[in-house]
Amino acid sequence: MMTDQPAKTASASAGTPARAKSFNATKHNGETPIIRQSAEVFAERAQNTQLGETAITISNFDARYGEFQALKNINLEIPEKSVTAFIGPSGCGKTTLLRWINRMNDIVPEARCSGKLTIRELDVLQPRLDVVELRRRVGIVFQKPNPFPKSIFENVAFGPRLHYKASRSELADLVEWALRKSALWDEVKDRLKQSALGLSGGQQQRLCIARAIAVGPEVLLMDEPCSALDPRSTLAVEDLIAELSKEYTIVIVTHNMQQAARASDSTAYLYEGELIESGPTHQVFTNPQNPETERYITGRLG
Amino acid sequence: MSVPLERVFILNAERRRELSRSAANRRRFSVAFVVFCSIVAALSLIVLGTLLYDIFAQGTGYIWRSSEGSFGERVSAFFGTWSHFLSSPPRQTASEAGIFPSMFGTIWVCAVCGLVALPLGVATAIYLEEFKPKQTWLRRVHGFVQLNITNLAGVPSVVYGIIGMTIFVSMFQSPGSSQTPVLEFGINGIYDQYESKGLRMLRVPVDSRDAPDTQLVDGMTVYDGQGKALELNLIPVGAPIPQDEELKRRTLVNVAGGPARSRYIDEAWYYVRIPFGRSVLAGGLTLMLVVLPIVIISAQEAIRAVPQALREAALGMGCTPWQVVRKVTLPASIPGIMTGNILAMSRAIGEAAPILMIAGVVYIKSAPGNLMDSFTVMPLQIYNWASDSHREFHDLAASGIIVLLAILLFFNASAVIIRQKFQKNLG
Repeated sequence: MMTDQPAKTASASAGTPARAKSFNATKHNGETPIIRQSAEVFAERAQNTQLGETAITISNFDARYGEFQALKNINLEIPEKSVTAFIGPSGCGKTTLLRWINRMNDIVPEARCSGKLTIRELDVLQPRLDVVELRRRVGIVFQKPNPFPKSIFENVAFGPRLHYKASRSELADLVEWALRKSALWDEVKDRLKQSALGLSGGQQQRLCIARAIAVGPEVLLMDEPCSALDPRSTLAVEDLIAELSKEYTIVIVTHNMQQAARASDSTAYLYEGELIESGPTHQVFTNPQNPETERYITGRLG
Repeated sequence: MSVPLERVFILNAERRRELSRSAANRRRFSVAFVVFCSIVAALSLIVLGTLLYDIFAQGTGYIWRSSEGSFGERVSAFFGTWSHFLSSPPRQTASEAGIFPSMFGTIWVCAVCGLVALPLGVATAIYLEEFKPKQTWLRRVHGFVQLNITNLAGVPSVVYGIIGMTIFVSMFQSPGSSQTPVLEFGINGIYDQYESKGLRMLRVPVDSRDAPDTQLVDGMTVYDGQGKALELNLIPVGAPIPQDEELKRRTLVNVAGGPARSRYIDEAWYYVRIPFGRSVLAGGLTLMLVVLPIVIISAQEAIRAVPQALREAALGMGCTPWQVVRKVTLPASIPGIMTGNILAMSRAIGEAAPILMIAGVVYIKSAPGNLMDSFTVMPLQIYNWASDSHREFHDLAASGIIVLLAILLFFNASAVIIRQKFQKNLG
């Protein structure tokens, strides 16, 4: 249904990264829905995306809060070093699924689950698992930026201090690296000692990402990382996600279909606790196998 | 459309006009409320001001009036009287009486109370807030404990006095007493004490509290109050008392059954015994019981106010639950916890009822030397003076209140400074 829409993004030159093109498309043509515009981008990406090995395997996964069944029989494979988006209407269980990947749901008293969830060979759901080590390997960024009420430096150094006995100079190097990686260094290098609460929302969220990557995770979970941000900051964070996906396996929950289309390599659509469809983003968005998915991504549902 | 549109009054201009509330009226009410609040605030300030003025006028006026001479002399007399008041024990005559023992009693008792109540209360609050159990029946226990702590905050303090008597003073009617403890630790020595003809204390070491009297022998070694060894000069009854001062100082008359003696226990500063008896420690711990619920509840409020997002952020980075408390929850809630502690300590410093039960009505003429010493506190001393039939003692009571307020202010100021310091570190 989208492939027959003629591409209007003639300005996009060959050679630029696919995602950057989609940004240009939004800027030049605000009226047309981006999903339709990006058809060409999808087509290009379909050739370029080479989804890697599976990093996270979820099989027969059920989750419940007390009596309420939040997730039913989820089977999903998340490829490494790419961005996987969970989409779906509110209350469909995407955040629940995300929070089980690093066992953040342990702190919810009624949360229970069954099934299998593995990261590489690690069985995440085994009761005796060291969640501290799991969470070092699987970082998480939340919906609302939540920097600690400490200095910018201390925020980034917080995680490394928990896990490593690094010297002050090694920490300083690490903090610079993480801040550069999260595209924040140039904005904050002169005020590392100042409170992180003085940063703008977008900067705070990038700081949270810097904080998360500073402990050296393999997987980064992001729970609607841009929903509290303005469009400009959203673009900055999306660019950052694209950059980071070269090295990290990123799972992102989003309400924003355009964002899923722009920023992810593969997409999983959940509806009322069930996984309706999953696959490479271009496929899910241009050629959904399930009519439910099509209804949702075209805006007729949710 | 379930509701007919004509029935929705907001869509009907005429009906809207009929129903509308007068904006002028509402504004008037708003202004009236602000005025009402200001009057109430002003009234309470006036009452406070009157009280303070009254206390200061009574507590310092008599000193000023009674002094004579030039202005400079009167000022120095004023400060002289105050320093005498602060450094002397209470006496029969009002002009010689001071507040020294009860002032130090208050400081000791409040220090014990704060040092125990603060860590215990904060730890309890952390446990109740941050380590809530997940199992159903444990959650019920948690709820029960929580409910009871809230109730305990409202229990009259005299009840805590009774609990303190049972638990700390008599230790559940344990066999010993403060004179014959079951267990004790930190005794430097036990002496038989005699008064020599030269009006000096002579001490003879003995083995235990209940050892029999030492058989005094002429020429034996005894010790004076400073621990200096002396040679005892024991003379029979009727013998002439030596004139030489040095000799007189170490002379005892050997009456039948030996000269009058008392048993003196030289206690170290770390002396402790069981049971505690009517001691500083028992008083401080009883006050701790009084303020503990307040400390716990206010600390819980402060901890609850820390955003859950911060805890999740810390957990998400791989903090253990304790690290979350240590690095996130506690630093963020310290200002609130300190505020609660200020309130609690202010209450402790003014408590008289439970202390009256623990300390009893006793005459104390020196500051406590260790945790097992008997003591009195300023509220009790002030009460004693205020209820005296002589008017001069009422002035002393007012002076005592000034000192009490000053100590209170000092405690609070230090807590506020600590709070400010932590807030700065967070900012």
